[in-house]
Amino acid sequence: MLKDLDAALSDRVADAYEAYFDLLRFIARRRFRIPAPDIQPLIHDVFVSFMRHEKVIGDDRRWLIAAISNACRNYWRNLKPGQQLDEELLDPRTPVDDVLARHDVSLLFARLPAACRSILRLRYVEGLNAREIAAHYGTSPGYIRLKVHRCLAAARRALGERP
Amino acid sequence: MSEHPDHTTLAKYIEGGPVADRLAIAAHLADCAGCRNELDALEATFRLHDNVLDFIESRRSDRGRPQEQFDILATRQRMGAEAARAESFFGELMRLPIEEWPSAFAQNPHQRTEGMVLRLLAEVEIEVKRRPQHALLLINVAEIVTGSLDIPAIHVCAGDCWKQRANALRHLGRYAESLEAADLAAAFYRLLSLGDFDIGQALYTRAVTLFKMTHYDEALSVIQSARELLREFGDTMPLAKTLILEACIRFEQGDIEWAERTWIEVVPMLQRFDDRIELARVRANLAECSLKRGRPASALAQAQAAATGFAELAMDAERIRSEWMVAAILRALGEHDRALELLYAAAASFRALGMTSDAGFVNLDITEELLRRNEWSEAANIARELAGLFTAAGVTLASVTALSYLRTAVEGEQATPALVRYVRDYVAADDPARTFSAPS
Repeated sequence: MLKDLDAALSDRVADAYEAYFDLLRFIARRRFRIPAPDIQPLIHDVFVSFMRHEKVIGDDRRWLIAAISNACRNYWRNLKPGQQLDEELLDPRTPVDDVLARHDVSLLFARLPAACRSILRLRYVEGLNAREIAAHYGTSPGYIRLKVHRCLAAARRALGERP
Repeated sequence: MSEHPDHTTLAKYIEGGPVADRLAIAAHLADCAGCRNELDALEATFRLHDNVLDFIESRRSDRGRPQEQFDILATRQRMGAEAARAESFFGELMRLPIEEWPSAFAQNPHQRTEGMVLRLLAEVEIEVKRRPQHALLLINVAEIVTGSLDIPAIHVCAGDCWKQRANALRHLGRYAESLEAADLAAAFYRLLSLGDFDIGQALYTRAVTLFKMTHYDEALSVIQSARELLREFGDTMPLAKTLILEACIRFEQGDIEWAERTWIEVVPMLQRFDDRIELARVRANLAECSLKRGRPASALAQAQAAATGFAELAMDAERIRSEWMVAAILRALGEHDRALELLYAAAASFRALGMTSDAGFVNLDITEELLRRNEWSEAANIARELAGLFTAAGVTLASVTALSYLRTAVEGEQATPALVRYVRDYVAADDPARTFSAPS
């Protein structure tokens, strides 16, 4: 029985669940602002649909992201029937691309040293320049530029490696 | 044992526990379908319980794991158990006339599950082209089972039933009803919290019917909507089919460049899904595009790849058609001897399969080629066979008159390749309202 269960757990659905659950929750919560208690049933529905269609799906990640986005949009439509959804939520590409980029960047940051995470976040997420970051750390802008350069090189190396 | 064993006895029997007379229960189960169903249902439940208990045990060290993982696994186990039970009960149904299936479900209400609907619709997919009327009966049964389900399964399954009904009705030539059925499928899918993927497929079904009706503009509009919905979900087979249909519509509308570009786009998807049948068909279509766009060398490679693909799949009729296309391309490349050999082989193969109409059209190509070579005697022999082949295929009397005119012209050494093409177009249209008149 345990052997069967292991086989079942290592199958495609379980793998997809392990790999993308956090991403789907992130999309539902951050991109579509779904209330926390309602996220779990939405993700469950997405995976039930995934199980029904898995034979015809080629790209699990893309399919799951599209499905959760679809489910989230319908969630708001059903909650506020007759009301127009935000343009931002209706465009299937923008939110997905945006969320994917953020998700990928957060995964990448997680694989960098803490100092690099902090400095790259200030530079590229908060949008501070070298002088402002230097003031924050009490050091020179030149040192910050060098540090950013080294951290970007580390990020490039991390991108080339498997997580 | 004359009485039916109760649940407790069956449970002990499954678990290997002490029961009064194990052999008597086994003998009773062999004769009693109702008790076998009970046994199957109990076994499925036990399996589910065991799996869930094992799962909980295996995760004791991982208390922080989200509750959803448990739900997904339990749902999957339930679906698996349902599918196994449905397969078993379907075997029993197959021994009954289909008219008795509804009463079989009335007697076995626990078999009215989503898994059962999926099993019935899997059978519909097999039967829909070959026996569409039978497929409709299967769908009716699936719909009865669907009526017992809860939301949202009832909406998914009702959508699936209507989608398959649209396909069956299209195969029966009942196009208006097919369109209505596709619309109803889409309406049910719209009730789902994440129905876009299914709605895209319902739209595809509608577009296929419109394509069959040769309503190309409307079909194009619908298939573009389907493509927009499905594209968001990345590479999927429904998207691949949608792109293939869009290319077919563009091809019929004369936009060969667009059709070719779309078929090229779909090739990697079909390779990824290892759909060798569609891949061979797309290669054959690409060969036609290349030929029409004046690239016979490229067309030859695609047509040969298509023929090889169909040969590997033992799809004889499709293989012969691809080889016929290879012959046409070789003629365009000026390799007339090789082309003629292939044409003779194709005509013989079609005849062997009883496909007399196709054999007749190949013979028209042979006649045209022989006239080009001034081989009048052999051309006359081939032309004499034409009327027989097409008559066997059931063409109209007007077409037979046209073929008779051609035979006379060939025998009198008056025929030209242009006359052969004229007669071919006339026979292909086979319009009884259009009287044959010789070309001026």
